[in-house]
Amino acid sequence: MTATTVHFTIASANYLPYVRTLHNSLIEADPDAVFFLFLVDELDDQDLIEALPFDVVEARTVGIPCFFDMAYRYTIMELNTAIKPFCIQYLMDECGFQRIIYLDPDILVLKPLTAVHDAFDQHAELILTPHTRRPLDDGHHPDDRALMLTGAYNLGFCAFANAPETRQLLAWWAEHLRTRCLVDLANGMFVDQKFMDYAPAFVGATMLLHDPGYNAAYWNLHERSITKDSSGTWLADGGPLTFFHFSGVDPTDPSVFSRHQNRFTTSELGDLGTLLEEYLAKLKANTSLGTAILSSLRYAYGRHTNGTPILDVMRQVYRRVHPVPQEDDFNSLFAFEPSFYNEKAERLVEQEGLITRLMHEIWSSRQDLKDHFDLNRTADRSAFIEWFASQAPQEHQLPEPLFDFLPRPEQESGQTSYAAGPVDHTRDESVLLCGYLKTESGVGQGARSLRHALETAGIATHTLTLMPAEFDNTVQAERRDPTKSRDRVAIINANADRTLDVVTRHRKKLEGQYRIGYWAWELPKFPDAWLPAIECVHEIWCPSAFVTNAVSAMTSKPVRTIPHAVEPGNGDGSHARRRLDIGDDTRVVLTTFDTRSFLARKNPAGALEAFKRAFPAPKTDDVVFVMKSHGPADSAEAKRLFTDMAQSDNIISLHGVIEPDALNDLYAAADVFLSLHRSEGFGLSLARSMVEGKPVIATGWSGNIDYMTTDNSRLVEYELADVPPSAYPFAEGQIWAEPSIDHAAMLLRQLIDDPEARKLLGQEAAASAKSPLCRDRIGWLARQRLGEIFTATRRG
Amino acid sequence: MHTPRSTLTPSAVSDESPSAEVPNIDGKRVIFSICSRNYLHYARALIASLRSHAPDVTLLVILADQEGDDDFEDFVGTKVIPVSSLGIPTLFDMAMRYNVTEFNTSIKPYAFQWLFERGAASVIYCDPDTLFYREPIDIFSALDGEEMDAVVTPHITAPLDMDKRPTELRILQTGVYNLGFLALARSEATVAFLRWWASFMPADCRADLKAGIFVDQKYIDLLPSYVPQTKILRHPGYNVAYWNLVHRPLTMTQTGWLAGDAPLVFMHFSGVRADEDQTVSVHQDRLSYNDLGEGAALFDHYRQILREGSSVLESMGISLDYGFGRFTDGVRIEGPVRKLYAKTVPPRSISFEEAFDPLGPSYSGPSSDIPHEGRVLVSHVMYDLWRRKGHLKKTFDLKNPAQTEAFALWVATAGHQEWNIHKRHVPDAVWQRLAERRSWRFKLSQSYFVLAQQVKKISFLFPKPIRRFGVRLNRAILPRVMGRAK
Repeated sequence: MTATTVHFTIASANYLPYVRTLHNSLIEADPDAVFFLFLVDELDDQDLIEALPFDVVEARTVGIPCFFDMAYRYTIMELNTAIKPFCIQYLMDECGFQRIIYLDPDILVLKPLTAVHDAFDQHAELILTPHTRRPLDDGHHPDDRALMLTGAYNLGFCAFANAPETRQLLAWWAEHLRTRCLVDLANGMFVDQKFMDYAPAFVGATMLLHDPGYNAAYWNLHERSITKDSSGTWLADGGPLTFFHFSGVDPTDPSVFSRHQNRFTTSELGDLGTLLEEYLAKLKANTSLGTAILSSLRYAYGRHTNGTPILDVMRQVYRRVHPVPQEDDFNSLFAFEPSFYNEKAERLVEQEGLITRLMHEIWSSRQDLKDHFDLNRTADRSAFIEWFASQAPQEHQLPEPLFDFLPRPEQESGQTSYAAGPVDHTRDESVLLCGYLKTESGVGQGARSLRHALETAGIATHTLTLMPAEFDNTVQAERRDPTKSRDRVAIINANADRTLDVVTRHRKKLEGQYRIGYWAWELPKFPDAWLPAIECVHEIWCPSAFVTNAVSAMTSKPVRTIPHAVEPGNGDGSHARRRLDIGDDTRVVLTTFDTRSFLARKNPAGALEAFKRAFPAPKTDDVVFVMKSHGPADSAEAKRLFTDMAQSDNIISLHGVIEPDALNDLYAAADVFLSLHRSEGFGLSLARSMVEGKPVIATGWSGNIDYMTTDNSRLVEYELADVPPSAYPFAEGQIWAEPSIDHAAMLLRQLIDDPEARKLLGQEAAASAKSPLCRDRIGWLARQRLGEIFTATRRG
Repeated sequence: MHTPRSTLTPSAVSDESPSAEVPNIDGKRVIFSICSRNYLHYARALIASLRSHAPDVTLLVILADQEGDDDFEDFVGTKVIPVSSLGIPTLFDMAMRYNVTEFNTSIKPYAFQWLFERGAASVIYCDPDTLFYREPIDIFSALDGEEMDAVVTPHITAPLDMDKRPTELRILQTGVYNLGFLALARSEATVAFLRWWASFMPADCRADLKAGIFVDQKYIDLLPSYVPQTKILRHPGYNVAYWNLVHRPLTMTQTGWLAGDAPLVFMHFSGVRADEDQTVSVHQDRLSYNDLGEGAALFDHYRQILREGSSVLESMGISLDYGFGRFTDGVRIEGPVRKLYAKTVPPRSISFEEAFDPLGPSYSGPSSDIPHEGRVLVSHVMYDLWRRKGHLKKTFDLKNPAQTEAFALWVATAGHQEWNIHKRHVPDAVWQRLAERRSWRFKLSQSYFVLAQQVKKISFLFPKPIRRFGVRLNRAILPRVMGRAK
């Protein structure tokens, strides 16, 4: 190697452990390598810099025009990426290097970068590595769409030769990065990286390096295998592994492979797990230098001159107000001037009410606030100001001067406003049922069936209809009881996550009542986050033992199992068959799902696969699979599923809300009901099919086994597995069932081929499920418990 | 809901229909284009230019439209294949979901697959609004000599600016490579790539820049990653269009036209309209017609060819009317209605009749976003209008039942005309309410709206302050009056 080639990285002081690890690994692989660090920081202790065994250039000395403007404009991550082209120009112009190789600080080098040097020798002027060589379309994050938004090439690595076209590219890139090095996907920007999608178009001698040994990382592990051979050499797809990019590792938590993805857990890494352990050990060893703990060094551009932290939202306000770079010096740019943020927002100058730049910026950065407050409306503006005064200072850690001029919200008496309080014994022995009585979802169905059960059992019931925003709410329900009811018991038939909101919203109405939460939850461990919901009720009812177990592990309050009442419908299936053009001899397999529930849990894709395996020849098998669904269809997951469904002739997709009668008829038209759920709280559609006398094939786990046995249904074998992160809310540390698709396919094939077995199983299902789930029995169960409660809360 | 499968048009699901016959393309090179009826004269011009400059190549045009009995082949000058022959599983769903541009682009991956399945060795796609001036030898030599699997042309090969339209950032959002041109050789890598690309077409061939989607084109940013043997052709003579003309001035020499300093091979007349003289493209404001210099002659000539083509079309009696532009009852489908369909209906394999049924539940059904309290006055289409229009949001608070009714009555009186809403997309209950309202105040505001629709046509006659007042009256004051009058 000649001294015309240089490797460099960019980091702030807290990343010095990474930089030292990178440098060590590079020198170990390639002892002659020249290495520079550009330090995006200012250290009080210059001796620290002296102690580092490589050249360190402070970013402010690189000669970047308006550097301090960038330091204020950008977050630490944005600034670290924004100065990349300036550093490359500096290394070419001030240091005379001809070949510049950039490596992210979180890279571990294992071999000299031979392919890069060779490419330069063959006159490549710019070398980039594509994130991946194969599509990322398995439903995990990140996916192809993420690459289309953030850039095809990973800019944790790039190599530039000093040549006219690359110089032109650098100048163009640098100019953009003075103000546009942002994470703003909606507007087509992702720090320095997205711009480089243009690189192969602007520089003719661009080489896209597809070698699997270069820039291996979480985004390409699905297409390359990282192994260690017997001599201890690391390999990528059998060739040498040159460098691995440990993007998103967490030095404090070895169980995290990368924070930015959910495709792989550490346990799935194979040999690579060892490399990760080694890497973390090196980081740890490099954390302290002399007496300094490097990882906790404070960022010089993270505070104003008076010590007030610079919040991201302040940087956003600055960017909005100053779209072009400001030439001021450090002291004036970094002085804390509250008036700058407290100015009335430019977008709202014509409207009444003081909404400051900072308030408006917080509003526009949060979808929940945008959904809730329409700032074009006067009433919403005052509501927003009220919200801001009471919530924002805490949620956003705002310094006093940015909110102290707002009217102080009245102090509520804290917790007691919603916590379950003493019961008012003068109230009547009747029940107020709060639920989604008009909503066409499972929760709505549950509320309606409970109401009928209570009425059947002769319990005086009043109702309070809750209206979720995202449903049709068309199911006809009688108007609210007009008398001013004074019910002693309130049953809140909304899941735990909504209960707190319901209680807060209807505080006056629910004051003094004995509150029962009727909740379902679909995983074995009840989330800690919902403990406040338990606080605000006196007792919890659950539809199955599965849910009861989860809830009672979290509280000493009474938890009772009250199943949903399920009655057979009145359809005979002829209407549905006619409408779907299904002949009388064609057998119908049915499944239902709601795209709002997580598709991974209901697992319609598994049911589809099982059906396809059971009936591989759509033209000869006289069977159709009706997949009834409703809910929004625009998630990537839903689109993939529906696209798959559309590819087959004997799959019928019924999407949308249908009339209750038509739905009854559809259940009646089915010959077999199939559910390969990974987990169910109760499984209304399964229970419904059973009381209808239909043979049901379902995963033999979770809430449905309260009423399903090997005698009255076909239970599919399964293995318990960790719930993948983000596959379900509060997935961490949870398990669910992974049903065997092959077993399900076999059961399905057997049942379809054997009409006699179908008939017997259907009879058995109806016989065993009808009476335990009938309205009379559920009403009786509720009445028993309510009777105990009324007695216990009587005067004296 | 689902329609009987027996009513599916046979050509939609099978590729055995007679129109699917193609010349034997086994082992051959094919150049094809895709267009709807409204672009047939563009395709005719392209085919004529290819006849002269790519004589040994099989030329095909895929018609992304309803077929009819017209003699397309005679007009276009080569074999025309109806889109229904390609065996696209969710064809009619896509035809409803997408507007005409999106639909035309969504066909592309399927067409490549279909041609490869029939044995083509290499396939080149060109937009109908491209025109060839020389033989594209650099493409042929990349595919043959260099054994490349794919050839793409970047929109620009040097920076533009951030001031004029489209900015370089906007082009980046729509894709680095222009998909008015794409050449693929049949190989394991390209077949796998096509499978991946096609998998997005049923639902995600939209223009949605915020989500990182731009029709079929944006996906191609990943082509060089997934097909390593991709040639990025920077030759200035290929795919010359408004986005790169500033770098490639057109000049006439003794040996023919030059783009920059290279021979001009093909132009891409994107945004050129036969009847808009002096316009470089409707999609840009960077270049004026004068900036074209000598090149203006190319544009003038192209428009001339288009005008000739469209008069031949007329004489042959071929309708330019887009067959997927109307509901089955003949009412035009507006853009927002397609978007509503795209948002609420998942991709499905359905018949034309079902896909284009004006009474589909995603239009006239009760909106999901407001409480209806037992009566349905606001449909999906109406709610969608309210959501998109700031002044309606401000005037009517749909959480309030009285204002909800006022909004519904306003739609039934004036709104459906102003915003081209299908009458059937307004619930029956609203028409009933409208008939019940008889007070003079109500009638008066109603007749105002009817009048306003007429006056709008001559609004240019009034001075600005009066026009402004008219807008205010129309948007804020009268709708409220209407809500209050019994």
